[in-house]
Amino acid sequence: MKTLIFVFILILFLQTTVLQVNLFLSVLILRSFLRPEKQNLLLAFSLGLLLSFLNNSPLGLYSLLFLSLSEAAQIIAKSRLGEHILIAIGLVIVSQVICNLFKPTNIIIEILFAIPLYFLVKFWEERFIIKSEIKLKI
Amino acid sequence: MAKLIPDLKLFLLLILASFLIFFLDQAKFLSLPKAGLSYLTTPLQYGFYKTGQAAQNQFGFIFSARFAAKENKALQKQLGELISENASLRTQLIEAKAQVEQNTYLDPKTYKTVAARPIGLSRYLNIDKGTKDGIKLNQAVVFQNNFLGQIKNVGEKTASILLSTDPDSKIASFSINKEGKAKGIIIGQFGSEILMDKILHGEKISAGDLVYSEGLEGFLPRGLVLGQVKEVLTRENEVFKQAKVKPIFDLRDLDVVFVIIE
Repeated sequence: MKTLIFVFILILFLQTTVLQVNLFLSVLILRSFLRPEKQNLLLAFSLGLLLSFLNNSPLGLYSLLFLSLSEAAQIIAKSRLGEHILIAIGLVIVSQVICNLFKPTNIIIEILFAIPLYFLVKFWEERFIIKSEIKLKI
Repeated sequence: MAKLIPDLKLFLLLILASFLIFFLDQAKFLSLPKAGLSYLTTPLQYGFYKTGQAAQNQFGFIFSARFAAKENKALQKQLGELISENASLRTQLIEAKAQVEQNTYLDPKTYKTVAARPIGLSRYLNIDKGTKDGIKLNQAVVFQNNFLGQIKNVGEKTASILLSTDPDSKIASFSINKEGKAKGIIIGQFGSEILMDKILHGEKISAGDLVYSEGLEGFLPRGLVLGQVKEVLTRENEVFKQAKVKPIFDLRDLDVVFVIIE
């Protein structure tokens, strides 16, 4: 978790200085979808405040937005639709479109990054999950 | 409801906290903590920004170097084309000037000429005009008011000129000076020499006199310059005297010649 928080803070600094894409939102939504838990809400709230501060936006604005989107992703994840990669990608696209209404960024690149980020986040979250043994066909 | 919306209590609590922070920020109650936190975040943001700029400049240099190489190649090609076009235009300009100057020597109302470029010189002088341009056998070839030769062979696009220095060339001529006039026949000697033969001993001719065409053959006008007398050869035991004549122009210096087609 500490590593994840450090990576999130690094991403926030990068997207407010060098990058013109909202990577943090994509990663947050994908994590909320793949691992629905309350830590996602705390991350959305706290890092939303940090993003508002770094962007010189009104404090609390991004927190509200990220909390809502993260909660929506968790609700969908726990429903019957929660197993399809396309649903996750669709969630990311909708989230980016909503966020672009507040601060326009390069939405095309954000959408293109959604698929590799999905697999990256999935790999990271499932790294300690033991897979079933591989049976050799003799 | 709690089952439908996971972590509902925490979610509502955080939403309320967000609203509270929002209103406090709008009321400027959070200015001091924001100012204090900016002492920590601003240097970090500056560091990230400068690093990003440096990386961008490095990549930018690579892209601009590639672009510059492509642009250089394209410009070199364009330069080659322009030089070629310039050379072609210069040639056309020289031809046009020569044509204008030629018209001052031969009246275009009387003589219609066609400009041609020498393309080879062996025994005959080859030019780049032929039957397609109105060239016919035995037509006279001149430069300004100087006679160079006559058309010996003609193809569709090229022709050969029998030069006045060729032994097969025989032209009726005369020279004139203060002391009088002398008539003879110009015969080519190969190289760059011409011999004016059949001059009567009584007729006056001396070195430096200009030799002109009589125009008796029909294919060339009277009064064209055939050359200048270099030396008069007088032998008492012979009926006629002779004179060595040198053409005014060196054929190798000429970029354009004119064929009298009418």
